[in-house]
Amino acid sequence: MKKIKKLTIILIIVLLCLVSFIGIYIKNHALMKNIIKDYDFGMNIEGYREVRLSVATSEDEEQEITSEKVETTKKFIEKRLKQLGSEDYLIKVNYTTGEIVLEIEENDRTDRVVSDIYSGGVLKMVDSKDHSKVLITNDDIKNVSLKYSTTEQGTGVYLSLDFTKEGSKKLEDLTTNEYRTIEKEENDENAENAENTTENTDEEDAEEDAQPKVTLMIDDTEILSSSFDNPIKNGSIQLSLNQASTDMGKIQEAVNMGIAIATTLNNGPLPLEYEIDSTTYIYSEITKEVATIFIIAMAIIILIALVILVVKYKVPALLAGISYIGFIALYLIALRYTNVTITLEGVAGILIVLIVNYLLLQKLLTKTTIAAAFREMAIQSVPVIVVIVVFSFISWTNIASFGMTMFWGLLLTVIYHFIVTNALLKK
Amino acid sequence: MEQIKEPKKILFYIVIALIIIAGIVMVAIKGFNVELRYTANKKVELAIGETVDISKIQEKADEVFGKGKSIVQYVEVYKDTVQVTAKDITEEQKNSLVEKVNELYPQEDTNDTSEEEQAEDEQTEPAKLLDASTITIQGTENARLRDFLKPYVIPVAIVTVVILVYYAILYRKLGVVRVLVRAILIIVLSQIVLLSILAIIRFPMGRFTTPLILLVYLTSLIYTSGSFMYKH
Repeated sequence: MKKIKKLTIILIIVLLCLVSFIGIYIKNHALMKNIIKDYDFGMNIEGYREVRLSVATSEDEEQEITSEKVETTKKFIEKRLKQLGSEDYLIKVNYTTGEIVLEIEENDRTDRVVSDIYSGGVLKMVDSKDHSKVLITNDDIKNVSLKYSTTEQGTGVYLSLDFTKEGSKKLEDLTTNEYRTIEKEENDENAENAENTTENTDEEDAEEDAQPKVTLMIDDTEILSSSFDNPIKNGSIQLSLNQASTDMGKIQEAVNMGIAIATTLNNGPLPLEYEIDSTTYIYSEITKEVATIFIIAMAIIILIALVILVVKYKVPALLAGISYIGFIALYLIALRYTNVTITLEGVAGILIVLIVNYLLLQKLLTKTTIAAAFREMAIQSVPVIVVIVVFSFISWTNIASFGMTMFWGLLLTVIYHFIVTNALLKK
Repeated sequence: MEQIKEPKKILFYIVIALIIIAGIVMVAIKGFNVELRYTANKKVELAIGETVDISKIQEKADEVFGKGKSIVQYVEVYKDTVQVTAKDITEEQKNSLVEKVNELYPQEDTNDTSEEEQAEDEQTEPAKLLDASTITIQGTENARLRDFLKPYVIPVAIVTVVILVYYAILYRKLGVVRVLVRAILIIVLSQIVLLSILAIIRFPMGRFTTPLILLVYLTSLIYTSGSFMYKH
């Protein structure tokens, strides 16, 4: 009975290996397609977008490039990348020409991130009719954040601008006096004379023209124009970014726009104005051939290690070895479906998991009970657990990859060996 | 964990010391061999117009710049354009590379065709032959080492402190100072040995460095943990 059970487990392991190392192919149109999810590789394995930014030139005025200004720009770009959730990049700077070369991970957000990182971030609130009349600038803004409100109509996304003490005074002054919405006394009369609609329209147009408004501009792009119904005394205004909606796509679009604006404004304007010279996708130097050589080398090392184990512990080690290969197969499937971004640091994490598993196998073969082997291994693996806990919460892709590959590896190690290896090694 | 016997221990320490000395000498004389991607470099983009075999272009680049002194990478998804990066690219080297690639992928040169044929060609397909005069050499500055090591400093520091405290508490019977000194020595020495080996074998420092450092760091922690457990 036990023999049948062991044979069944071995058969399952073989199947698992076939699925993991080869895949499941089905006919898709004229092609055979592997239905097993692909790995999500980081930019140092797959490839990256290279963005070349140069200091903008114009005939009117030349920007003075200093190494301090370039360094500040670099720091701003790094901050923006962090806030936009893009944490896998390499930045190279020429402090003389101001040229910045950014290598950034390629995904569906890359275009938006690229367009947001180099925007000037100059905020101005100007008079709608006379744009040279600047009323509020970046210096008056303390913080920009994203807010949401959910009603029956759906979710609305707002940009909340919190002003500094000085800015709050300016805002209060503007909204109380010049740019306060003019009370429409005539409206009542107009309501009474509703039949005179044509005349009313002309009057409304005239009123509209007479109403002073402020225009919010970011990098010389008009965002909105408005007057104020009530004075704003709390030093904070909310700008609607969408109409309340239940459409997740539209909400997400508004959120992305809001994050981009907030990120740009919170970091203040870039000291230098930049323009994109080129943006190109570049494949990693790690070609398929290099990856294949690495995989073959790893397979050989694992086989040698397992042979050593078999020579030392005979038949039980053979079963443990089969189980070990099954573990690798299952682990690789888990990494595909848990959406872990695998970077080179992640590969190092995978290797650590394989080392820990090999040590555990040795203990399973030498200790009398599985509990004793696990207990000993648990004490020895405390450093790995600490690393997992700390690294998994870091947003920098390479570090998170190292933590996450080990997290899933260790979790699977406990479950898999407790069920599979234990059953195979039971006498 | 098996303890290394006394004579073997001495031999082990001698080997470690020799590796470190050799590493220091190598770093002092030649420095680390930094990967091209992280050093100031120059690059040219070759839009060949048909799917290319990158290894063949690499061979040609090796002939021009010397073996292992350039990187060839595909640019964009069609795999018909490559980027060749080298520490320095002179006009002569660029021309030589273009010539070699043109030999590799001989294509129609529209210069010899009649005006009518040229006009026809313009309507159907643009000329594909690489023209060195239209290819520019782009320069890129180096990436700063501290920029790509910076994100690792805080997490590694937190982990090290937590683990050292854990060792000090769990293995206090072995002597807190002794445990801490031994743990720190193993962690630091293993990193110095790794960096020395990388310097000696002229391993390109760059993308592979941090994974290797992390791998050795964690392996040294697992080893330390095991050795304390054995002694305990």
